Formats: sequence, C-alpha cells, structure tokens
Amino acid sequence: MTVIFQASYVLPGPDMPLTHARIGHSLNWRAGGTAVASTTAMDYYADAPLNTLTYEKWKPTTTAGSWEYNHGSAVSCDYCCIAAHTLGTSVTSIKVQYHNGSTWVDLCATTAIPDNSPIMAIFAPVTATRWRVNLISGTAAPELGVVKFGLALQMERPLFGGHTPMVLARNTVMKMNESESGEYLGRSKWRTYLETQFEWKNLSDTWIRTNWPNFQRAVETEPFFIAWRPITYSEVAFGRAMGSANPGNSGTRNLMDVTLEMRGLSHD
Amino acid sequence: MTETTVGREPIQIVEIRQPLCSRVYGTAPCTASGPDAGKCYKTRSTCQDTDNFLAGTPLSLFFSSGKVAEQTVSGAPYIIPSLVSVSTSPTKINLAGSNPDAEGLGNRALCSLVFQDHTHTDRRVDPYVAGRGFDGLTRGTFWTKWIARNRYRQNIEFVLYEGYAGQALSAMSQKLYFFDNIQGPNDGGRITVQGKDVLARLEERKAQAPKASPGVLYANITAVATSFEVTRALVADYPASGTVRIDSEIMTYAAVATSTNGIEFTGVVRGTDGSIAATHNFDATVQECLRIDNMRVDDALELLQETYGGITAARLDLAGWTSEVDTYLSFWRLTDLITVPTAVTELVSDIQIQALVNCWWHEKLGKVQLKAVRGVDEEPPLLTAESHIISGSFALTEKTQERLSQVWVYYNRRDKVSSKTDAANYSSAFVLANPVEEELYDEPSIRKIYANFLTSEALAGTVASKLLIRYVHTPSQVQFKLDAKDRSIWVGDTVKISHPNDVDEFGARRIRQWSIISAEEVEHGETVEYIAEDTTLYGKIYYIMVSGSADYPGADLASFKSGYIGDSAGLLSDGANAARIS
Repeated sequence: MTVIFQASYVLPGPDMPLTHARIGHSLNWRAGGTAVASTTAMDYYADAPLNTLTYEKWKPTTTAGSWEYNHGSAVSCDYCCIAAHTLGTSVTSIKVQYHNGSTWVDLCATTAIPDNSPIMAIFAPVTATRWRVNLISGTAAPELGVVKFGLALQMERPLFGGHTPMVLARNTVMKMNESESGEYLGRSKWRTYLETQFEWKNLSDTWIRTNWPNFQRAVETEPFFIAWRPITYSEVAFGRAMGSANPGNSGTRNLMDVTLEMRGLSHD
Repeated sequence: MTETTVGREPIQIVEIRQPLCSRVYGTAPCTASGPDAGKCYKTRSTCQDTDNFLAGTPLSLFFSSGKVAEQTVSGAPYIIPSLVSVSTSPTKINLAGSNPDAEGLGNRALCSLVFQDHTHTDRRVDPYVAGRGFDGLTRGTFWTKWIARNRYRQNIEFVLYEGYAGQALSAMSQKLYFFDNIQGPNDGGRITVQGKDVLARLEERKAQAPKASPGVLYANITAVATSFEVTRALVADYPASGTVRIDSEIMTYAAVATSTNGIEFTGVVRGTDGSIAATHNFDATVQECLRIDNMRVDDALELLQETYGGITAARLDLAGWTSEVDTYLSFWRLTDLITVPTAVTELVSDIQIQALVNCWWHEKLGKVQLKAVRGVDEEPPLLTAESHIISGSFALTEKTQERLSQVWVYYNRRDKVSSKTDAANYSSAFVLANPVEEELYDEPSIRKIYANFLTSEALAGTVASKLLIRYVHTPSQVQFKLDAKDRSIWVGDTVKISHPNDVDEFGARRIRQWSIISAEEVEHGETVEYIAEDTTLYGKIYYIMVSGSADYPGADLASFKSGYIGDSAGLLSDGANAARIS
C-alpha cells in the first residue's frame, strides 16, 4: 500500500490537510479516453487498465515500457492510482508523468514499488491531455490491471478513533487437520480479504451536499481508491463499498456523520 | 506419497476448453462475408460457413474466485473471478460387481460448478472484438452470451485444477470432466454447470452395440435362400461382411452391395450360432449383430468403449490396459454374439464381472483405467491413525449382503437371441460352494453369474473361485479422511491401514489391505475422503526369482515381489508366509 508524493510537493492552498483521506472514484477519475502501450504481451490488453476489472490486465513484453492514458482533451488531475498490479513482484520502479505538449514531465520521482498493493501518486493539480505510467526498470515485465488519473475527493475531516487501517484489517479463515492421536497433519489458509470501516464525524452539511452524492453514486457500481491518512501512513486501499454510505445528521448544529464499509482483496 | 503443503493456501481454477475454429473469417477457405460487427465467434453455432468449419486448438477459459484471479498463476493468463463454488461426487468402483445395488461400472464422477454471471468486455472470447463497434460490457452478460454462442456444448471438456497459491497451473492436481448441462442464470445471476466423467457416454440412451439397423426385407424369403434384398438401408449401414439377425434366425453373409430395390446380401449361410433357418416375411428387420470372437479383455473393452461408446482413444489408457491384461489376464478370452442393440454400459459391466476386471474413470489422469481383480505386487503405503488418518473420520462397515457361500457361473450360452439372464439358456454351469462357512454363518448366500462371454470351464471356475475366496467372509468397508498432504492416493490404489478400531481377537491392530474404491477432496487442498474395501484375501503376487538368487534375507531386506520358498509349513525363517504357487 503505497502513497507517492510529487517531489517537493506543496499542499495547494485550498486543499484539505494530508491528514485527511484522499479518495479516487469513478466520478472523479478521468474516463472515455484511449490507451497507448509501448508493447503488449500475448493474452494481455493495452486498454485493460481503463476499466476496473482486476483480472483484465496490460503487460509489456519487456521490463521497461510505458502505459499512456490519452483523454483526448485537456483535463486536470492531481492523483494517479494503480491497482491489480505486480510491480512489487517484478521489483519495478515507476514514474508518473504528463505530456506538456512537447515532452514528458515527471509528476513524481522514480519510485521503487515495494509490493503489489494499490498505489496512489499525489501531485499538484496539472492540466494535460496525455498521462502515463513509465516503467523504468524491473526484474520481470509487470502487470497493470487498473490505472486511473483524476482529481481526488478530499475529506473535510480526518478519521476519528476506532478505525482499523485496511492493511491490518485481514479476514482469514484458517483450518487445521489433526490425526487420531493429535498429531499435526496440515493447516490451510482460506479466503483472505481486507475489510474495514471508515467513520467520519462532524462533516459540514455544505461539504456533504457538495461532495458526497457523487461518491455515493460512484461506489454503487465501481470500486474506489482511498488513502486514509496519506501524510502519515503510506496505505492505499482499492475495493468495493459494502453498502450505501448514507450520511446522517449528527445532532450538533448542521454537522453530519457518515460511515463507509469497504472490502478489498489482499495482496499477499 | 506425501505432498509438501506447508503454509498452504488452497486455490481452485476451472478451465473450460471451448472448441474454436482455426479458420479466419472471410479468408480462404472460409467463404463467410459480412460487416465486422456481424462476424462469427469462431464457434460452430455462430459459424457462417459450416462446410469449412475446422476445429483447432480449443480456447482455454479460466475461472476462479476473486482472490485467485488477481494473482498471477503461471499457465493461466486470464482468469475470470466468477467461480462461486465447486462440488464433486467421486467415481465409485463396484469391485468385481460385488455390490448388487450398484451398476457394474459403479458410480459416475460428477462435478458441479457455480458461477456468478457478470458483464464482460468480450476480450478473449471474441476473436473479432476490436471490430464489433460496441462495448461488450454494455451488451448481455458473460454467460448469457457464451450460452448463445456455444449451442453445441455437450461433452466440452473442463478441467478442475486444485492447488496452492504460488503453484503453476501445471503443478496442480487436475480432474477432467465433460459438459453435461448448464442451468441459469437464475434470479440471483448464478449459473450452474454440471459435468460427468467420460464413461457417462456409455449410458443406455447414448451408446448401443450393435447399432440399430434400419433395413427390412424387401420380399419374403425361404428358409434356404442364400441371398436377399433389403430396403430402407444403404450399404454403409452394414459391415462389408458379417452376421445379421432376422426374427430369431442368425445368418452370416459374405458381401453386401447396392441392388435394384435397395441393397443385397449375398453368400448367406443360414441358421448359424445355434439358430434355426426359417422363412421370413417382407418388412422383417435385418439387424446387424456384433460378434465378439475369442477376444482379449482389453480388445473387447476398447471396441465397446471407443467404437460404440464414442470415447476417443486418448481418454482410454490403452497402453496400461494392454500391460495389465498381458500380465494378469493373457489367457482370458471372450466370446459372444450380440444380436440386439444393447446398452454399452451393460456389456462393459458384464465383461467386468465375467473377466474379473474393473474399469473406472480416473479424473486426475483423464483416462479410463483397467485393473484385474488381483493381489498386489508392490508394497502398499501404510496409513496410520498417528500420522495420516484425520481424527474422528475412521468408520468401519460390514457389507453383509456381499458375503458369498456359493457361486454359480453359467457359461456356454446356447441361444444368442433369447435372454442372457435365463439359466436354461446356458449349456454349462460351474457351481462352487463353501459348505463349512455356510453352516457357520447359518445361512447360504448365493451369487449367480450369467457368463454370456465365457465358453470354458477353466474361466468359469476361476471366476467362481476368486469370488468365493474373496467374499467367503462378510466383507468390510472403511471410510476415512486424510490430510491433503496424502492426496496422491486415489481410486484404484491399494493401501494398508493401522488403526486402533480395527483389531484382532487379541486386541492387537490388524493391518489389512484395502482397495480404494472412491476418493473425493471434500475440502479442496485440505481434506480427502476415501472409501475402501478390504481386499486382504486377494493377497500378494510373487514373481519366481532367477536361478541362484540368495536366500531369504528377512522381511526388511527382501524384495516385495520375490517369491522365496518356505519350509514344510509354508513359512520363512522369520515366520512370515512364504510364496505359494496356486
């Protein structure tokens, strides 16, 4: 679970602090463009990362290469999220870039990806037509299943106590076999997945009515990305909402509370 | 025997091998033409030039649960995470046809797969997806489209892979099944695919031997006519020469050719195989007969399963069959004339019982196996309550109905037209009884075998003798579970079991020899459930040693197969039983 910050990243003036969650969802990431890949291995698809199917993937034929999203018109983005990938297994270093009309410009420095968990690269908003993930080096050609560029939803408040970080929220069924005499015969691990709950309190009614309806609708059909406290923890989750995330009035002035349950795949 | 499964995370993957045309749409020899959006899907039911459809390498479609699908599994490049559950029902051998309540071929292996239907991009399943002009995700669902594009899905192969995270597909346990039916999607969007093992092709509604002949007599014939015309049939409907039945008369013919009124049989010899030549009226059916003439067991089973059952040779372990028959049944010969279309499964069952062999589908090897009812010639693995058998899973059962005190084998069938299960229709009977045990058990238990394929007293006697030896005492069956580390043990294998619930009169554990008749991974990758029958009395097979071989070195050092000569009491120097020639 990796958060990558732009080199010398300075929080834009109107942005929420980086102790607040950043969320990428289907109504704030850019869609409708085309994909261009440096090369594509057999049984993989250059445009697979455009959708959120984690089993359809792009893979280059070489360890280095690039995958580009061309939106077709200029749009602003401040994040790039990647999921269903094997950048950790292939020990690949990546750079997220945009095209300024004449050359590719780095949005973050070359970063070695430590594992196969979701990634969120955070950078100052940039307006461009073409965006890409550049694979610098690795021991094997990696797979990318989901790649999204967009403008993140920034939560108005940080999470209160009681939250179990997704990386620690493992749900695993374990079974063991013993012989008649009690000898250990074998142990199996079944159905590991991650499941946690996000609970935000004291959100202003204005913020909720401005930002939340889009998110509610987005998670009804598509998974989403969340970095719950990016400045402190390099933890990003990609998964599905387990139900509607409906805010309720907290009873204090015009503030509202909302709870979100999320389930995602583990990555080990 | 032990598989390394430490730190295991069981996974299941299903591969459906969808038949796919090797042609390219609109490229010679394919003459189909049309806009890109209307191209075929390279399946037979969407083909637009069926004359040139040529099945090539099947398209492998992989399915698993979501967790697995996101992993990289070597050998499975595109795994759709829609598999909800898998349930299987194992092959169960009916050893020597001993279970009167089961068919001779035992139970068929079944596999039921449940999938969650979903929208799909059509990637991988649509060879022309790029030119369709629409997004597959917005039209139909994966399974509704797949069903529409694959109407001829009966007997499509699918493989169930069961392994552990990190394993390549090729390293996983594999079980092969064949599409039987597909149900759904239901209200919840679930699809159920059911598959069977290949021996299901021998069922009565699918395979008959001989095939039903369409021809009827064109005109009345006398009892001495040596040629006759047949209508409603083609030359290809009958063998070039052979045997036919009209009413109750059997006759051979030398040739068949096209004639004025249909086809004509010539060189006819009337009233063969114990039948009587008679007059026959026009419109009487001229039925081809299947002659099994002094045939080896493996040859007869191959003929029935491949030629009449439609099972491809690749799915029959023919080399293994030949080796088994060469070694243990080389003297066994089968003879009969099948004069009416008969279910192949019935004929195969008859041969199993009369030749004392077992045929079964080995899901893991993907081939039909054959093994003689015999002793072991390799040391069976020992399963113990301490190191193998899962706590609380061991249960012994007595099969009272299978005990035998008398075996009656009817052989030399006289009338090939009348019922084969009528004792009066046989010239000979071999009756073998064990009156001592019968008296001790206080009641007889008789098994009759109508051996329509046997013509010698020696073979009939062997059948009777082997059955009586094996079943003179009430046979035992055991059910137990093993951890998946021992799952290489499978149907057809022989094992020894040491368990505190199976003891002799002194309370000491008795190590019996058991044949596995059923095996199922009840929790895949974790627990395997077995049913085995006590075959201790089948004994052990020794081989005569070369001249000059050293004396018996003791049980630990002696080769399992070596037949050492014992003392006058039949014992070796350490008191073990010596080999015996019988």
